[in-house]
Amino acid sequence: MPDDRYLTRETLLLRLRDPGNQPAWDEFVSIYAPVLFSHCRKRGLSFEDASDLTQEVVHSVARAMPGFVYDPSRGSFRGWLYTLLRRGISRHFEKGSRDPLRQSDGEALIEEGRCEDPARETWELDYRRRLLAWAMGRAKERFNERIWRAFEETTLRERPVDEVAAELGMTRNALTVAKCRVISAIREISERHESDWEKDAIRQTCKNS
Amino acid sequence: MANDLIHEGPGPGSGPELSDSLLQEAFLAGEDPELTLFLASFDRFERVGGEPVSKDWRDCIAPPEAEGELGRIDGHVLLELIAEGGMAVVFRAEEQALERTVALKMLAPDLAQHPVARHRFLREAKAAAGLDHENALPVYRVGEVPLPHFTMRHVSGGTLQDRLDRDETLSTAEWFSLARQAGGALGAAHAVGLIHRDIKPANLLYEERGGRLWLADFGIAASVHDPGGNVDFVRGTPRYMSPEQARGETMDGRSDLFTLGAVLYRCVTGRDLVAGEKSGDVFASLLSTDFAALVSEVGTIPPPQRRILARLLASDPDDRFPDAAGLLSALETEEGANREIKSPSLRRRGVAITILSLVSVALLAAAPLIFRALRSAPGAAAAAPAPSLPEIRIEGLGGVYRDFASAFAAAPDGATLLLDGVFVARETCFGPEGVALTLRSAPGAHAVVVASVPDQHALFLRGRTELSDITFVRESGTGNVVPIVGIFGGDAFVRNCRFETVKPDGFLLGPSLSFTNLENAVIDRCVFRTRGRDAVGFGFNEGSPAMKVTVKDSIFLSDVAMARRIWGGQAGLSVHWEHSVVVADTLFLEHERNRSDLFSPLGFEMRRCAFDLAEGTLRFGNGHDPLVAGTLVEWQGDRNRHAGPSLRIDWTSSAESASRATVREISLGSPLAPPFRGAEVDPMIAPYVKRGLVPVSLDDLIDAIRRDPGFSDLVKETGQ
Repeated sequence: MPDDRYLTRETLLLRLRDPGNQPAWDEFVSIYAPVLFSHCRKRGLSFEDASDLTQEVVHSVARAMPGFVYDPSRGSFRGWLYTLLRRGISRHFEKGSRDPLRQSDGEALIEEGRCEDPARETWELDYRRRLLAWAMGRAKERFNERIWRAFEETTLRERPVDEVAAELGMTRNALTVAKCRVISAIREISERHESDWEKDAIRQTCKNS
Repeated sequence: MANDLIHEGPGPGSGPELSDSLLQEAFLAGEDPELTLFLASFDRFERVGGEPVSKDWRDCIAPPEAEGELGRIDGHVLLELIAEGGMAVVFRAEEQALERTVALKMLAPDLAQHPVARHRFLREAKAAAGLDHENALPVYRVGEVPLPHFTMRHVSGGTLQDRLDRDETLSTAEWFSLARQAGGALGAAHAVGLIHRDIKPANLLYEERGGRLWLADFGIAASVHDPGGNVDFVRGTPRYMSPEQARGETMDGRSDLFTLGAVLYRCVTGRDLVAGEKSGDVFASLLSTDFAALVSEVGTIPPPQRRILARLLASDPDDRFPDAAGLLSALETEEGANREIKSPSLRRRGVAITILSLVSVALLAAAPLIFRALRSAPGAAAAAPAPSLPEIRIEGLGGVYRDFASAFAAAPDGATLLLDGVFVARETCFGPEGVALTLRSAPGAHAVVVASVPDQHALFLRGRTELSDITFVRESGTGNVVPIVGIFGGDAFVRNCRFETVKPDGFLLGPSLSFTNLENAVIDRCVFRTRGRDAVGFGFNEGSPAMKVTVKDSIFLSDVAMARRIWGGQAGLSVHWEHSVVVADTLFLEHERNRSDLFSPLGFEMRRCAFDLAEGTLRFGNGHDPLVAGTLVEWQGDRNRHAGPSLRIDWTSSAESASRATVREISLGSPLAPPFRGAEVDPMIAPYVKRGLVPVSLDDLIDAIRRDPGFSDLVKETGQ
């Protein structure tokens, strides 16, 4: 029996099926476009080529969405996205562009699943960082400036706690509490985004059961 | 470390810990300016999926209304197709309202659908319209309907290409005139943030009567504020592309200077800078050739033009003129010099003496630094007064030579040259290829070699080389970035030498020494005082062997102590330091790569050294992937001491500090307390004042370092 709790909240993946759903696409693009772009750059593509390929992949996703059936047994959405990108990069190098890191040699093996893709780890790392950065941006909207600064100055900019507390007119305790609230919010936002993918998977499986 | 960051498990609430460092990294990654630019220009998906459009411009414009017309657009009658490129089409047209002939350029219809290409085309047109320079082809009007287009002055008469097809080369006067006009136009464009990116003879319109040059076709131009010029960047003509453009890296005005240099090279030699029929070959040459060196070897180019070209065609943008104004001022100087050289009365010897006395005056002005160096020269107990003219003797042979050129010509393989006096190099002295030479001060003497030539080496030695007891000084002050001494291809042993790069006003600049394509180099008991660039550089070309460099008992005072430049190949570098002192901003800099091969190995073995590094330990320039590079750097440290921040590795290309995880732990040893105090501050040392090193002079600095309790155990060990 499908869990109704999940049915009431449309997951991102579902929302992406509707090309007119701007907020959903904004969220997707905000998080994933930079990861795609950075990954292309790391693989040696120029700024222009990386922009173009990122665009291509996003468009592929857009075209694939309406009929998309997510099969969790085949890996995560993120993994699928990465496969699109990896193939795009491989095509790019096949067309004759310089391959600074000589990566295309291993592409066939990776495709066949016969060896690990070393760049995959970078992709995951980039994704995690990007997700956090995005979540930080969203979290910021929830707090007043003082509380946010308590977090930013101490955690991000590593200034001494006492100095920042004095500057903001807070006790050390209050500052710690503020930091915690912000970090919790960031965690909650990023986890909620992540779980969207998984929930949809569960939803799908439930549908089929 | 990365594994715990990968989270693919199901369900909410089971996320990894959000550590401070993770948040910092995320924050920093988001601050990456390139990323910001990308996001700003990223095409939103909703704009894609328009109606399929015809690729033929004829379908997009209004039909012709009379015989001889090709069509009409926005109040213009198109009369003749002048040029058709991948991105745009150019017509000769008549502007009806004003009844004047114009050139009209229109964006290709399929690109007009692409919001990004469209936006850039129009922005470029608007920027070019804002240019008001007598050599920049004026843009009149910009329009968007039905296709993005703009109009420009129509110039009759051909292009520079037509001229070169007829006459192969230009006269010197014409060459300078062309360079000046093109430089002026570029300066105006760069001033408004516009990079041309496609300078070639076909884009230089040339009115032969009157010799007026027009720089046109900012066709794939880009504003510096927006790194992508167009959708398919490789539309620049490979033959006239700068190395950084070929690599797809961010370009700036200096890239235009390079391509202008390529055009000017063509104009004076009649040959293209880069040969090859296929793009691939052209790319490869572009990325691996040292054009500045190439230019100096072409005998048919008169020296003034050669000097200009060498500066324009430097592979590293930092080595070129910093901007068009720099080029213009050099042109002015050289054109003047050009006239002077023709004067027959100037005899060589007379010139040499005149120059020497001029330089002596300059040296006197820099007296405190230079003459102190002469007095307290390493190894010289009491310096004999320098003879009025320098002398070289070849050990075992008779004869006295007055300059390196003649001494080199006479020296057999393995010879020892004994130097005495002050040698002023007004141009590079090339050592004979493959000949082993030792250069050393004659007994009781202390030789000084002064590099008085702006952008060239004083000495370029091409065999196994030993240098001892000599002071090398760079004296001229035009922003040199070439070392005083270059050793190429043969092993190098540099002992008890001092390298100073100094301008008369006390400001130091330029590297000292470079080793290229050699296997073994030893630096022993040397002192380097340089500023602005690295003290010692290591160069690698395709086919060069792995290099091992040993540094012992030496002192480095510089911005960057060592740097590597790789022009080709993958040979590794291993660096062994023993009992030496480095006071610098950075210990080692890996320059931007000319060719994006796999990262070449880099090994450090540092023993009993004292470091004071203000900015960081290792720095990697653009083009290096931290992930790849990090795995190939090795560091072994033993009994070192440090006064500054313990470790930092910087990546110019991105703010990815995660790379630290892949480089093995680097320790600079235990802290070294700065104990130095002094009343006066030598201006050269001033930058290091903030870190507590305040000696009065170099010698005092050396003394103070040796007296430092933290350092004394090192000193004791060597018995000095």
